[in-house]
Amino acid sequence: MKIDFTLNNKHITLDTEPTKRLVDAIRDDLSLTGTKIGCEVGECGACTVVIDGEAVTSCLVLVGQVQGKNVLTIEGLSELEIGRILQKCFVENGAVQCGFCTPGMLMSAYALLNKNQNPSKEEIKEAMSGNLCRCTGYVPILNSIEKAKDELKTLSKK
Amino acid sequence: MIDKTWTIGHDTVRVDAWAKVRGEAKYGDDLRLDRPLFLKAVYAEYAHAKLIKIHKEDALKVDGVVGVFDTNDVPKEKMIGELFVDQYVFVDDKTRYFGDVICVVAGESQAIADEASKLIKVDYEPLPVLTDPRTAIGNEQVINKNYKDNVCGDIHAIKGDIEEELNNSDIIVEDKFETDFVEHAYIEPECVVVEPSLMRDELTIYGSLQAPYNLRISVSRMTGIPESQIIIKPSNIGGSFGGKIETAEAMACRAAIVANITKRNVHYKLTREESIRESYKRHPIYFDMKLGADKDGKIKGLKVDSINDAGAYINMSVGVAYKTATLGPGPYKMNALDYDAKAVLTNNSHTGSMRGFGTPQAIFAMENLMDELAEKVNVSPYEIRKRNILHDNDITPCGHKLDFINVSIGECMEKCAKEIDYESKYKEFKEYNKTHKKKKGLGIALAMRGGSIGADGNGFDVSRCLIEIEPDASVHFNIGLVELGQGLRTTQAMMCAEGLGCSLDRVTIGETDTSRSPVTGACIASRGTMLGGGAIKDACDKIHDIIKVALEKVNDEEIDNIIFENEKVTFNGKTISFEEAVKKCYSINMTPMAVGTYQVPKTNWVPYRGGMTGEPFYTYTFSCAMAEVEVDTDTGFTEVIKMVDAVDMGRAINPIMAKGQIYGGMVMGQGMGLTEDLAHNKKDGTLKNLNFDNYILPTFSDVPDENVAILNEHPDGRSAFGGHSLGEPGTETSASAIACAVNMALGKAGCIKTLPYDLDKVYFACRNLEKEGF
Ligand code: FES
Ligand code: FES
Repeated sequence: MKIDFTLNNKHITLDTEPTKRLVDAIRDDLSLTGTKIGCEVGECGACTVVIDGEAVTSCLVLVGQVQGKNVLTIEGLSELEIGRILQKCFVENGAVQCGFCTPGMLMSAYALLNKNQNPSKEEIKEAMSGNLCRCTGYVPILNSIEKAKDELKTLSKK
Repeated sequence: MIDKTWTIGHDTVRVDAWAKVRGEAKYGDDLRLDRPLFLKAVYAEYAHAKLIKIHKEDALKVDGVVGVFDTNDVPKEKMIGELFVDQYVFVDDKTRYFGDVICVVAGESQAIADEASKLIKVDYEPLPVLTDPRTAIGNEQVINKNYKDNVCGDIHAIKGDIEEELNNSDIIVEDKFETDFVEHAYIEPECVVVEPSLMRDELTIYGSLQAPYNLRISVSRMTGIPESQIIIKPSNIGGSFGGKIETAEAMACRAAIVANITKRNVHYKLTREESIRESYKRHPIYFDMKLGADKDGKIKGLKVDSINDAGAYINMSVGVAYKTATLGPGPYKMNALDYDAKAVLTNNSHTGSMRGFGTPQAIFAMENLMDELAEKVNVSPYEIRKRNILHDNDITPCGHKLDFINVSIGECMEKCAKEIDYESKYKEFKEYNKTHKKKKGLGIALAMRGGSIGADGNGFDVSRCLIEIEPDASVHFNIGLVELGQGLRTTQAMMCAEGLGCSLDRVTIGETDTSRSPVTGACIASRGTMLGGGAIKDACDKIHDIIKVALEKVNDEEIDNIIFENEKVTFNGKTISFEEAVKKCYSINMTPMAVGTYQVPKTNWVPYRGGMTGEPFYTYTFSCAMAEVEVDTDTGFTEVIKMVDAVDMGRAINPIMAKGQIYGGMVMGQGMGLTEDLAHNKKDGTLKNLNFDNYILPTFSDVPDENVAILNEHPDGRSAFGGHSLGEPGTETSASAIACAVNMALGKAGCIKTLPYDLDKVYFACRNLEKEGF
């Protein structure tokens, strides 16, 4: 079946089984391997992508469900200002260790800052609580998101 | 403050950070080789059973199945193992735990292999299952016929005369403690990819491989292919914590066998359930402790009998017992020690290296015992530790005189206490708890960690690297110590620039590749900075000698003293640039390239009274963690309010990553302390919690944002660039600090004796305390 959707700001048509998991379509059919698989039950967040502005675990979504929708993966993040700022803040503030959770973390953080440019610490923690990280102890990631938030604020003041 | 150089001591962006935030860094499962075969394992249905027959016919009929491979397809040696070769990659005569692999199905797609694997039927003859190491000792059921009593290791650390010290003690504290299995829970499940060469009998192996040189030996032993033709190129690794050694190695051996037979690329990954089922764990350890002290609470002697559950294969269990026995007594002064650590085979998941390696469990037991001692002496946990900690020139519990290092444990403690405001909170909480149902606690845990492998590895604790300066004065640097996420490659590149005397921009650190990097020990035992640093220093010194000789020839003068520092080379009163020095070297066709080797000097660890005594390690890292918790005595829920961890890692080469090790380590300990439980079935040896829906890791919301990582630096003269172990110290104390804090909240030192302190356990402890009028 042909599925039409927007992927990283480009319109695409994918000919695949509609019951395939979105994460498999992204990784295998589209060869975008930045989206990771850690648990396949919606618990780790490594497979997080953004669909119509919402952070979603792509291991629990079927590709048929994204017909007509707007899907953003880590590969499309550098093209967006919030994405670039987040990436820079992650790099500079020690938010990356093994990096396996990183794409998912960035996608969740992007969805949050895209909706709410001034989240409180609690709001950040809540929005990020579906993403597991075994390496960083979360504190450096939290600091990075707060830094990104501050940079966004100064940008919007200019 | 420690002086920074032009490289060391500056927060430096990791070499792989940008590739990782862009999603471009490739991990094993991201590799896309040409038309690979996909593997699926069939696991043992019984933890202990004779294997009678494998029925493969139905699976082989499935379209797209290329073969089903089992132990009969292994051409040479059938077992692997780093120190003890006892782990079958395919079940041979009998299954030994429920993660054993009977066979693998190879299919043209993962779906085909998965489906076909369900059609394999296996006949077994079940055997009695041993799941408790205490009763496994001397049991008539023998897991491995080379160990008739199931005891596969026994390490006994001794100092002084324990009986005499205990007899002369005013206070005796006795107790028993236990810990459970802990999963590494790297977020990336294991994946290996094998590419056979069509030019010759050669295999290239990629994926989540923490110990490439050990793997090379195993594959060579199994296939008969020489080590030079087995090329290991670890991919980016999504976390390991000691966990991607033997399991990944067994997988790589299976995949290598299939690739070698079929001459096809092979892609073999585990699901999370398979990963938890098959992979080895942190050891459960049982402790029986007795401590004697004088009336002021000064320790006179400590006697411990401990038993670790090695599970089905020995793996690292003997090394783990070594660290339990030698480091378990902590950084405390005592006249006598008698610490026995046994490793015992069972039919449980095998247990191996996991960040801490036998110490987080021992620290949990020891620190609880210290709190019980404090209670008896009627002083605070802080005070009892202050009275007992080691200082400069003191002798450790094992008998090592600390006259070569800053014994900074007291400083670590003071810094933590200040950060968490210990003194006033301790008093405040004691009062507060009298009248509140939600109770507050503070906990302290101290540790002293031996650098690298220790005397256990006397003679083979070696590392090597290769440094080559190119004609344009850029530097290519290869080392076989693997990046696991900890930031090792950035640290190594910084030390390389420091050692050579050039800027960091010049240095490119190649991905680990056993055909490019000289053989080196594995990236284990928190040895990367010290061992890698030693090899780097050696290579740099050799290169400096080459350049010196070249300059002597070119300039026709003798040089006694030459200094390479921050892009400048100074000799005989002149200074030239680094680049010019390199060009001069090449101008007469001398090659500024060298292999560096470093071996940890042997230490004096000698037999004594039926055990061993002396210097179990070459050097030490001191650390202290403190935790503040709030316990809801109605529900049993523990909230961690704040954790502080001060570690003396000698020198923080890259401070931002050094802190990262501590932040991450604290939270890993939090999971071990409070929530992580694999639901081990004591009847059949299985584990029930095989995914993150039931195996509960700390999330963003569970972790205090007030956590503080303190770098308490004192450069270590025994390490080339001053840095020593950090990865494990960062995690070994926090579970214990939390446990001690919970027990303080409950008003009784050593109250809960088994880890983890999960909801149920704390709830029932509260109900029991109520009966005692709490
Ligand atoms: S793989 Fe989708 S949430 Fe873990
Ligand atoms: S950086 Fe390794 S899991 Fe987050």
